Amino acid sequence: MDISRIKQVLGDINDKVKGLDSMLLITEDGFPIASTLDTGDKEIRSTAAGAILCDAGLRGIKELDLGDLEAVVTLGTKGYFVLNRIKDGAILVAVASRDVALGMVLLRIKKALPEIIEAVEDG
Amino acid sequence: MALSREEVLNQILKRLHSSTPDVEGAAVISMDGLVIASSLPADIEEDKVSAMSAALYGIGSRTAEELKRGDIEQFYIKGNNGIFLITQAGSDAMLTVMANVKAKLGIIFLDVKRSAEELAKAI
Repeated sequence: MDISRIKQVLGDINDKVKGLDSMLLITEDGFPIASTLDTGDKEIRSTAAGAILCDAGLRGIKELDLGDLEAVVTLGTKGYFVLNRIKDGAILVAVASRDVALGMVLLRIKKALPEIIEAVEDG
Repeated sequence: MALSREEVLNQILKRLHSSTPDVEGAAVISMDGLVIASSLPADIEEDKVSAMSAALYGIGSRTAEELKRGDIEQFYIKGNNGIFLITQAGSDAMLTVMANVKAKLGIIFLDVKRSAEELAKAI
């Protein structure tokens, strides 16, 4: 796994999209792999929320027979929490404010996913 | 003759169902996870849909609050076989929609929000 490349991709998206608060790559167990946040409380809370939502999403997908889980998205009055499940138990998380259009967040994630998957598989 | 409340809710659900072909089913669920009205395919268990709606929306709401994303408005999980979207419909209920993966999310969001507003008034 090429951590520096993952950090670079996450940082690029974060810089390019105004209103995107943070980007994280985490494990399904709830541990951070790489993020645009400094190590600390905010990173821990975002990582834990991502793991909890992924777990809930997996249960929902299984009960409702919707195949393999791809994404879990929460839209709040003040922002979004977008979670994309990628290979090998890794989850890409985007935390955005309501100032940014959801379509832009989803588009940037879609474009970055192949490179992140490649970096996860690297090595 | 005026329609009963149940008939009004069913009418709104049927209208949503027919106006958006990618919507496969819809239900109005109370915040504690009980079905108020539904228009779901025969092979889908109502109880599963209502229980999952309450559980997922509850978790989404808690994480939105934890990450300072405001009050939850919408929440969805996407699998490779379909989408499960939950939208707040007034303070007492939520509108749950099951859609196929080909669905254009922006269109579904628009139709669902309109229906949720109508349902909130009717409830």
